[in-house]
Amino acid sequence: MLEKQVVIDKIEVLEDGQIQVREVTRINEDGKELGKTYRRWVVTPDSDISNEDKKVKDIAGVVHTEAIKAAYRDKIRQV
Amino acid sequence: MSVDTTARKQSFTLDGVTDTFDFTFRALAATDILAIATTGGTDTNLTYTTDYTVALESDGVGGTLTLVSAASTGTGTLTVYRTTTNKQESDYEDYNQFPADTLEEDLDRRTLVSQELSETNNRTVTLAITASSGTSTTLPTPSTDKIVGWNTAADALENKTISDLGAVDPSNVAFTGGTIDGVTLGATTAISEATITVADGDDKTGLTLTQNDTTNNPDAVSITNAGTSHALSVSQTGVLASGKYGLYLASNAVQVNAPLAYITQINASSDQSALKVNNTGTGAAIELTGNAGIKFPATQGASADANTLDDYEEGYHTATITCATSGTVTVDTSYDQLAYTKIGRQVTVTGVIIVDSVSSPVGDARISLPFTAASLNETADVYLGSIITYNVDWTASRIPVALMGGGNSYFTITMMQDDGTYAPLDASNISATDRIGVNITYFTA
Repeated sequence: MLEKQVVIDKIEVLEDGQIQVREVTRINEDGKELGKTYRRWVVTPDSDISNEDKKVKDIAGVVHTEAIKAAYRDKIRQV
Repeated sequence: MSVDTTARKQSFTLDGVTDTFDFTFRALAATDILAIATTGGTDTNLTYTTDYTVALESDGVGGTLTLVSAASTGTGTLTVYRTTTNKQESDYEDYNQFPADTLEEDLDRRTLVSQELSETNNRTVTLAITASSGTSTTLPTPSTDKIVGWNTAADALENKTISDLGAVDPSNVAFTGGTIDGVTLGATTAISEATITVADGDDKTGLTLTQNDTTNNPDAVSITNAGTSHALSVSQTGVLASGKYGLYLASNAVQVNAPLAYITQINASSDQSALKVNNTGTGAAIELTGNAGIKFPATQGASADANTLDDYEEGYHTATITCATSGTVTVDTSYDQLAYTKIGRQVTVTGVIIVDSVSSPVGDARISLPFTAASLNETADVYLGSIITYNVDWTASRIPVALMGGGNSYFTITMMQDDGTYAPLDASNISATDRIGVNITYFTA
């Protein structure tokens, strides 16, 4: 039986508070993976996280302190 | 005549030419002298008068054996020996003169026969003198594929099979050379310091191990090396034929649980490569054929080494546009995907997105990317890419480029001008249905 599975399989927190998120979409047949696709994005300390996965929200809630947000705003690189 | 020697046989070299051989032992009659030719490991009994003749010395001590044809007898060894006619034909009558010569010859005959029996006895199997007097040395009736051994009481011989001997303790078996052919070992046996050599022309596999235990599924071969040298050393000294390899792993089974070959370094403190390929020739160090590829782990095993390729990943990024000051730019969810490929630390992102709507956007338009860029030395972490736009209202005579700074996870559409500065495009210049395409390569954090 074919099954589509979409999960957040990787969350990386960088030193400056940015959270790199990877979502994987797997196509399985009888439990055996036939293929997969990745989708990535970065949740910055100033991001709107209202639409993020709960796991990302939970991590952002801990990591994105006011100090981190302020530091991030200050470090945004203008080139 | 007396008998002064105990010898009954002599050996000579057959060279195919020499046809006379002088022997020195005593004999009573020429017909008592027999001969065997050993050529190529085969003994052939020669026939008196047909193959040879004998002339005894007049005193009966020694004589000459003459081959009828030295050439046809061949080369090898000639054994000349004596088998005295074991008879006593003298008739001693009463009151006659004492027959000294006849008696002496009869005594000589007895002595010669006794010598021959003694010599023969020396070549037979005998029990030790300490053996029990009740021990029988009578051989059992010959039986196909049987060996002869002592019975349980150890007082008689009987026919046995190999299995009658019970399990053989391999520690009691020593191979000091020669050939092992067709040896089957049981489950608990072991060979120590075994060397198997296949001679040229033997057309035999040096070692064949077949594991048929699908109940317990033990390893077919298990090598444990507590020493510091190679656990397995394969040295291919012959020039390989086409399609042959120094080490060959093949399976026609459909492998679903594990790859055909697996090398693992299970000591986490080791800093050495799990697999090292050294090529001093001019061919490729590693060659992939067939449905081949190199697959990296889903979770990168990050390496700080400057010469290590540690990651490969393909995927998509759902792009968003944020305004540095205020307002929003919303990307059409049907056209918000950018594709990325990450090779090691290098990421390339490409694609076109379409704006769905805007709401009072003010400030730099920041278009998101899938990874945060690495911060590098000085301005080495300013990443540039090409931009294409559709309907975006950017200032005339300026050229847009995608510009990304280290530590950021977005790029800006930055306008550069001839002989002047550059500045990011303000989001207020972006409207609904505008299209923004990008192709940018940068390094990840």
